[in-house]
Amino acid sequence: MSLASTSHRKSKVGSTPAVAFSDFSFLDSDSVGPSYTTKGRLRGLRFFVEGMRCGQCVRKLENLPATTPGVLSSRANLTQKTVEIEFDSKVIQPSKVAESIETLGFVPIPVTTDIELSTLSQKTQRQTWIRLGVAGACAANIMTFSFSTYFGASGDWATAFGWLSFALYLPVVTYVAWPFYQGAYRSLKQRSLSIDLPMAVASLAGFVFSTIQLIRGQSDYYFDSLSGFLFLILVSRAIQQRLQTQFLSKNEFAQGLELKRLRKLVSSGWHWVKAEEIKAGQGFVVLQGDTLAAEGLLESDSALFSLAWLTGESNSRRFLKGATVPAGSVLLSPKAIFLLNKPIQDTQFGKILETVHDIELNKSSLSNMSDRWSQVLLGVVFAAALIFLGIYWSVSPQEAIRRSLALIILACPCAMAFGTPLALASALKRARRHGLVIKDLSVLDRLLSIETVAFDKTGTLTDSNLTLVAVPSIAPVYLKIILALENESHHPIAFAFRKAFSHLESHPPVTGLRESPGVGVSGYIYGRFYELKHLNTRTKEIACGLFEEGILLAKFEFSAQLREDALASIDKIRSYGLKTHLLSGDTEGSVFPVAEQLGFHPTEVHASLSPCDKASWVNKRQNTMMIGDGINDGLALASASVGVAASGSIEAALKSSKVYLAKPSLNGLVELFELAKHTKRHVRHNLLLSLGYNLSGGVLALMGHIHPFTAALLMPASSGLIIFLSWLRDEK
Amino acid sequence: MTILYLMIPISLLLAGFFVFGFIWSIGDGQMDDLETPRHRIFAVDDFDQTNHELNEKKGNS
Repeated sequence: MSLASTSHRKSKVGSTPAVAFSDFSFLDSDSVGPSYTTKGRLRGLRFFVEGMRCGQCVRKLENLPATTPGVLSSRANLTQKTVEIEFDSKVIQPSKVAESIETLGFVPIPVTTDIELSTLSQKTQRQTWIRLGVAGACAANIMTFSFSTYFGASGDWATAFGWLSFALYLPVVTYVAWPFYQGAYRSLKQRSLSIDLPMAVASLAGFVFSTIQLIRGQSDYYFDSLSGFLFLILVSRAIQQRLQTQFLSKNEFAQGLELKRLRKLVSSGWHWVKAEEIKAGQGFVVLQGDTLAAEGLLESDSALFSLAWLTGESNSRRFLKGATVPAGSVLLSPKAIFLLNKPIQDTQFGKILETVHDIELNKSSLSNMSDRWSQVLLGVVFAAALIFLGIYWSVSPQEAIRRSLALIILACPCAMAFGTPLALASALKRARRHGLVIKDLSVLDRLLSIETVAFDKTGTLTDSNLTLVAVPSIAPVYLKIILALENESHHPIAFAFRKAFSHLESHPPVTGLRESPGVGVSGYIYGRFYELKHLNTRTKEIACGLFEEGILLAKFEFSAQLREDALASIDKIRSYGLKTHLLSGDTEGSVFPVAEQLGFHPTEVHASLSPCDKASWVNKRQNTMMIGDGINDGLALASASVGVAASGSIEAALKSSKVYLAKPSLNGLVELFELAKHTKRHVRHNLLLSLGYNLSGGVLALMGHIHPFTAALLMPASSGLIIFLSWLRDEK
Repeated sequence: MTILYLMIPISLLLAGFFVFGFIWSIGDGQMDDLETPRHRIFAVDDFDQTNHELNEKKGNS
């Protein structure tokens, strides 16, 4: 039986591998498919593979060419959890490629690839590494030549070494430092301080000064310190870039793309097209489980829909021929035919999708703590260097330049730039251990300012599976009849019945078995007509009754069980001094019992909220964290300062939320808070350390106790110290 | 000190050689993914070979 009630919307979203095959046929269509493919006839597809964890998985996925004809190559990337597959589209269809991954036991999610964008980011990353290599080679060689002068070389050889250093510094000052000049130019144009500015100034000013000294036959030139310094900065930059590539960009998860396609009606059946390609009045087909990507006029006689997306109301609704069905409805009947009434972009559903996208884009511009700190420090250092230069110029221009150069090199917030990515990298490692998928690391920063935590009920605090609460006292033969009726159903209630009565082995034969979605199942057993029907009730989440020839025999009640650690986790979160709220689309009758069990105060419980209501509730409060279901709460999750998806597939979750709990346990939330605190401490320690170092070094440099070369040696020492301390922390 | 006339060019040549090798390996994409290959190497089945052969075939066509 299919009581498309409370459980429907949740179980639908969470339909990971429970249903044997997902529908990938849209990949084959000429209008939808190409958004996902990467190459011409020898086509490429990229999938985010849910469940790829280990070397075994890599092996299985890369074995595809051997097991699937038409697949030419398969390349897995464990860090991003993606696989790139090239195939011959004459031999195998794209949808079959996806299915072949699914048969291996994974959940493939096709991702769109902006080829230009991805090759661009690959190119910049490779460029950084090449610059790094050139800088390292030049710096090391310059140092070997410079050392001779420090050890007292003089005369012709010293001059020769000086010019050799000069020659080796040329690629550094031009090619290696180029991105710093670009960054400095940008920051000057935007009138803001960036870390590129001191690099550009030090690199150029140092070059000019040293060259003049060299021509004048003096031996105090700083090619060695400058190149070493640029090399180290590049190292930290490369580490940062590498960290970023661990995440797929949100553009690659086709934002709502799969919700914007329709099956167009043609003479031979249907084929997928983009939603906007169907004009008003044209026909399209919707199959069971499809989300309606346009407002349509129903052509079929009648069809049943779930409107959970729009209203949050979990009950299904039946529409008759000629009715207008809103976009975003999910079809529960096997098939329905429509005429297009309003294209998706003009519907409320389309607007919700757009809003989610916009909110996502706006939030990414948040800068993090260390950026702000190093900006302040940079300002201070620059001002100090300039003031010193001005004052000391009258005493000795040469000494003034040397000391302010030493200051800029030494006090450059390099350790600072180093410290934060390191702390974040180790946070990421810890998060993975606890089953937390973090899409955007700025979450850790934002978590600390959270004041309110809002929970969704079904599927978040409770399991998505139903449990039979109590068995009424009826003859065992009726239980067997129930089993017979429910034997083939995939509805959560059927699972609950089968689980509860698993001790009954045989069940009688049924004739005329009929399952009507949203109503129940019925059939003839021993010549009598039995029905299991959904009962409307205000107290429990779901109830159904067994009817014999239309007479109610027994009533069964179901409830979704609380997740095991729900109470403990919520209490822990309360102990942090955070306010907790419960937002649910269900009626008060079904929300309050759960709320009471979890210790929510009645004023903290908000029932009968539609997804839009939830989102506006979240929007009204600042610094709110929302924990919910990937799709149904999508808008609220995206509106929240931090959205955490606790159930649903990862695909849907990562679209709207920043964090996904991969383990079915709410304890991950507690871990998340702990992680944020730990990371903050870690970052702060690193920052304080480098700040103390920079200040003391800076003062010494201005007093003339530190030569630019010593500065260039001391600076990596501070970075080294921070790496060492981070490593110690990780080991703990 | 005359030996330096030989040593310095040699050292610079060596450095140049390594830089060149490094640039080549980056351009070849060897540093793009540092995580997966270390798992790949433990593949005992012969599929790696198949994969490789297919790649080669594709390259020739």
